[in-house]
Amino acid sequence: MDEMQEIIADFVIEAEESLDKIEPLFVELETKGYNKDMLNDIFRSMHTLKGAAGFLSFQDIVDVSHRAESIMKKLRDNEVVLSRELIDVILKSVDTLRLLISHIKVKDGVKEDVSNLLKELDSALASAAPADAESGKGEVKAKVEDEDKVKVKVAQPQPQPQPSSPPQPKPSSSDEAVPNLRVDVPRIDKVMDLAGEIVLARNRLLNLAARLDASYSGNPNIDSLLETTAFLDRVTSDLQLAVMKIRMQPIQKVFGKFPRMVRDMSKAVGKDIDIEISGGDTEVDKTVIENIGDPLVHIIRNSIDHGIETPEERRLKDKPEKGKISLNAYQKGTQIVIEILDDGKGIDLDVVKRKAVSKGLISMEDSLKMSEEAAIDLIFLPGFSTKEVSTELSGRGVGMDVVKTNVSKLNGYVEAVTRSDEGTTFKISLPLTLAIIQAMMVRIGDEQYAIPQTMIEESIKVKASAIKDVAGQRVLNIRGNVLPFFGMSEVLGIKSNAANSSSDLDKYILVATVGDRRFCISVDDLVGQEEIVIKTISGIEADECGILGATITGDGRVVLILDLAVIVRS
Amino acid sequence: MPNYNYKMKILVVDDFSTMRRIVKNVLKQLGFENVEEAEDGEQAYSKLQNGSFEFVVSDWNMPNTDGLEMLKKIRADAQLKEMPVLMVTAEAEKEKVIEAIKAGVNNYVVKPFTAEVLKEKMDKIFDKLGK
Repeated sequence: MDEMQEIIADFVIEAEESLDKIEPLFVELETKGYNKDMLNDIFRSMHTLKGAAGFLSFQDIVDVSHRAESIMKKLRDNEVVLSRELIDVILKSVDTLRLLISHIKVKDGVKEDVSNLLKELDSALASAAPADAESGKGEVKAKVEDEDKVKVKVAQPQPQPQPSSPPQPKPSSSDEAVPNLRVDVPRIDKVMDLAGEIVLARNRLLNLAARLDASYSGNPNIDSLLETTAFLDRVTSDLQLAVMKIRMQPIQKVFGKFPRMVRDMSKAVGKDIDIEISGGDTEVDKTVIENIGDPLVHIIRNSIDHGIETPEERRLKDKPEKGKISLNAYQKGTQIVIEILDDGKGIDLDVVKRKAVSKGLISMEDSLKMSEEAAIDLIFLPGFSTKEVSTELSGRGVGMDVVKTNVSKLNGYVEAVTRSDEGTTFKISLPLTLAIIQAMMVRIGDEQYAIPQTMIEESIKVKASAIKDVAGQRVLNIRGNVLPFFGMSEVLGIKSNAANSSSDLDKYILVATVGDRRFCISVDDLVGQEEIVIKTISGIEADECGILGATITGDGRVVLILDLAVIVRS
Repeated sequence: MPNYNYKMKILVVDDFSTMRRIVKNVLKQLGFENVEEAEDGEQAYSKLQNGSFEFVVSDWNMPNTDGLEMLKKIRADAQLKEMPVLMVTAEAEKEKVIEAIKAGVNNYVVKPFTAEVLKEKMDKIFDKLGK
């Protein structure tokens, strides 16, 4: 019985994956027209699903997939014409299959009535226009050629006496031969946790070895100790990377659902929109896969609903009637960047500012002084929505603040750039890995803190007198760039140890980049760089207090990790 | 009934891992535990070349090399041409079975099938081989 449960659990996972894989194909088919390979892929998914469901006695799944399979077979063999109606009904089947599978997954025993869909599928197949010579001469001809080939093959004497060519292993076959193993996520997470602990122990050991070396230098045992710790150091880094890789998955897993979403939504609001996806094979952590979907849905929904104009409006503006949304992912250093571009009307910043004032989010005065970058950031504030009445699409009163919250949960940043009538670009930057990061260890007052290295551009030493006051904002001129300056001890509200600031002492400055913002902060001392494991502290909101979490350092101390983004925003 | 060597190595070929598991499970019910898997015809063929398999249960419809192509390759291979192959097909492919028979399949079974049906088919295959 247990074996059966496991098989069913496997079936659920595999069936969902298989549906995920075919879904983007429909939209491509609709835009590009007949494509035998794509049609065959969809056919095969339905076929396989039906087969496995038959064994497991999921009759509803068999009924739906059987009919969808029949339609796909006829489409593939070019016996009926590919039409929007047929794609619609197949997509409906995909949705129903998902629903049926979800009931199996949660074991709620709910029965869905699929009889209407079955009727719809039957009548769709019955009324589908047969492909005649007129409509698809090219394809029909291709089909005949295929048949000829088959005939030729059959006509050959059956076991071919000598294979004319030795079996050539395809270059890809070695990849395919790599055996796969399905592993439960909690097991991987356990390994990840343990790897994190090893990193901490390694850090402590390195520290200890260095101290021993200082006191007992020349002792031959110390030399072997240093050698061993150096080896451990390397292996630990490799281990970390290897474990990280287990959790990485191509972001296509998330991107895959958008063509369908854009198709359905743009249809619903009477717009014509294409989506272009690139960089789907960029690998990101599993946590990112799980959490980036919602923010992307929000942004894309907004583009469809508010950003891209109706075909009429676009025609008046001399833009192509078809709007375009581009989704792009790439790795940049240790960051993963996801960009969402639309060629719509852009965000009207004056409207945004007025709205923010009327909602009491900012004062009128602030709104007048506000830079464009600051103004566009207003859309990420909780309780902000540019349309007076939220439509069904972007609805529910939640908006871009959800995007920001979700992205910051992943230690990432979201920025927006908008140009009137040219469109809006959202850029989400995420760290490559979430659990282990490089950090700069600093001292502020009596305490040591960690600052994620990804936020720091460089560290420099300047005289206190170099910090200038311009209209109430302290600034620092760094090689011709004037950057806002913040004293970290003041931001955190702790007493600085760096003597009295009136004397012209050297100050340690970190130049930080958070999203597109550059600024500098002063700390009392730079302690060094360390690889740290982020341990989340339950009960605190990183958004409010500017603490990302805590870590245990090489010398065994608990150190808080600062989130500069939050500190500077407040 | 043939005298089965229940230790014989069997290769199950299917691109859908749940199906491989189901077929393995059915084989297990019949007492065959020495079962390996392959994801498509290409992988199956290279496994067959390197391993001492005595029986193949293969799906028909698979990406890359499908069941029929794999069968043809097996029959054209001096080492493997005697390998008994059972093809798993679906209702809709019944008309194509003739093609598989021409290509030298030993028997076929329509899914879903029970352990009894699989046993019947295997008995037929191995009875003939025994003669």
